[in-house]
Amino acid sequence: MDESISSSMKWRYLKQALFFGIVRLSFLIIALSLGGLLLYIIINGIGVISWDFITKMPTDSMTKGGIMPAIVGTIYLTVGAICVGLPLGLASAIYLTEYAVQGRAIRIIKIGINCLAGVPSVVFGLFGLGLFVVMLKFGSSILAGSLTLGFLILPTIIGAAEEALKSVPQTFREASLALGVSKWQTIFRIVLPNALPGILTGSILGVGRAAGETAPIMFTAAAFFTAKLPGSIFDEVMALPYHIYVLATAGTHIEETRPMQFGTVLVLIAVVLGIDLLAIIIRSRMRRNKRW
Amino acid sequence: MDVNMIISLHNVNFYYGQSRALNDISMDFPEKKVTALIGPSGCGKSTLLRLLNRMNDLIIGTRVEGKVVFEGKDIYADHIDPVEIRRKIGMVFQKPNPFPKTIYNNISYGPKLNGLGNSDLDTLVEQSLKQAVLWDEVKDLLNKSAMTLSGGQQQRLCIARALAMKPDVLLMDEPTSALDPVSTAKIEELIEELKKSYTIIIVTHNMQQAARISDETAFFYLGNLVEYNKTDKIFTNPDIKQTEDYITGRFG
Repeated sequence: MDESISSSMKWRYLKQALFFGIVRLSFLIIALSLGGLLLYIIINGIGVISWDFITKMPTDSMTKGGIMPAIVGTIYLTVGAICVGLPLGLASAIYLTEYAVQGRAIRIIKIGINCLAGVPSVVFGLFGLGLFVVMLKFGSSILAGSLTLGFLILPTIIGAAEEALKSVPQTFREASLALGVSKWQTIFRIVLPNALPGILTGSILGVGRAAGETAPIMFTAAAFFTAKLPGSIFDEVMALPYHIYVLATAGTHIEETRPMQFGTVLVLIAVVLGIDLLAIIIRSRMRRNKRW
Repeated sequence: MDVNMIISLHNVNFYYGQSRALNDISMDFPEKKVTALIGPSGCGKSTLLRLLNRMNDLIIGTRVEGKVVFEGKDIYADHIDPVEIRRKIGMVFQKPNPFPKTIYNNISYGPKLNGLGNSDLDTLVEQSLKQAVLWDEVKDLLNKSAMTLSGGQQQRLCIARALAMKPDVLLMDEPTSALDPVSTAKIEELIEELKKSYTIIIVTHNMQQAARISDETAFFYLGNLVEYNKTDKIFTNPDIKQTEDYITGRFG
């Protein structure tokens, strides 16, 4: 009797150890490959990073000089994408969670939004090309690119905003409504401020995606090379992801510009992480006042 | 007995979807008195309370039949704005639910959004906190988050917040059920004080509490109003056997 219990216990501990081992291994694989990737990029790219590299225009058919216009372009496009995606996404989320009568129609819309998140980004690119560049005649421009990227990040923002709105306790809404405060005022004064940290998280994810995408801006905003910085939102821009693509595949001296490619990748990662960091700081500051 | 009746229910039925939660309720609530609603869980007392300021509107699939007359008007009539009703009929909830704002802003929130100027706000905040007997404890902490207060203080803050709207009626949904005995005693004292100026309708699970603080008591069971009488009468010599059984703890 004792024998069989202890042997079954042993088997259970063995299973536990095995399971934890697998979980640990999975984590290790991810951490190592991520760290390895970063390290590889840093080692190969750090050599070309200099003040000139990030502040100068490219020269000699982009084989020398800096990548400043691509950095500026990516910032423009990212900010533009937020300006499009955040208000639209937030408004949709508010409608879906606070106003819409929950039913079959709303469920289908929500599934649709989730599907949108899985649509390949090149499809968004073609959509942007068709609608903004050709039909609305914005041409290949910051405007068209921002709108396209804005739509691309829309599902992420809607999803996060929905979750954030839902996480605001119902008792807050009740307390506000019971004071004779209208629904809109309640949403604006109570629900939104408390949902903001969560909404920002969603935007962070969206922004990261927008800044790094190549396909959506390929047809709608990105230029192979511009001699000067854009003057208006109707101008084409260079952008980091597209610049990398160009240097790595379409340049005339691909091998020669290899260090520049890595340098550009490094800058792109730094820009994305920088944007994320900024948003994380804002979010944690807002969270300090949150206690429930 | 010439007490003014501030709210009157006429043959009110209430439905959550298909199921009926209140059966043909008719009753009057006297002005500037404390009326307690008692009964076992699920008897419809909270439903009735939330019907009086149209908070049940927030639940999808609910339906009201009959008339709820407040200040001579049926509050469920088509042209009535529930927001307007809730300004005049305040509510305190079971669990203290202050906003994650400062103490000051918790109080000023309602009046501000209803268009009160800033100059009067300071006075109003002080007045409301004094009415809720919280002023002395928080007068130096007005810019602190309300979340730092204790549960009992939070509940008094919620009462002050409701009072700041200068309502005619104050609805209380088991306001002390989440509080310790000391805080409960404070809230009960406060209710005694408030009934001089306000009509108070309180749902409570605690029969001693109903006996202590209320003037009238209504006993509900399975969505029916079983007995509605003076509190003294209900707790000493109820007319109906079922009431007596409940009060003496034979079921509940």
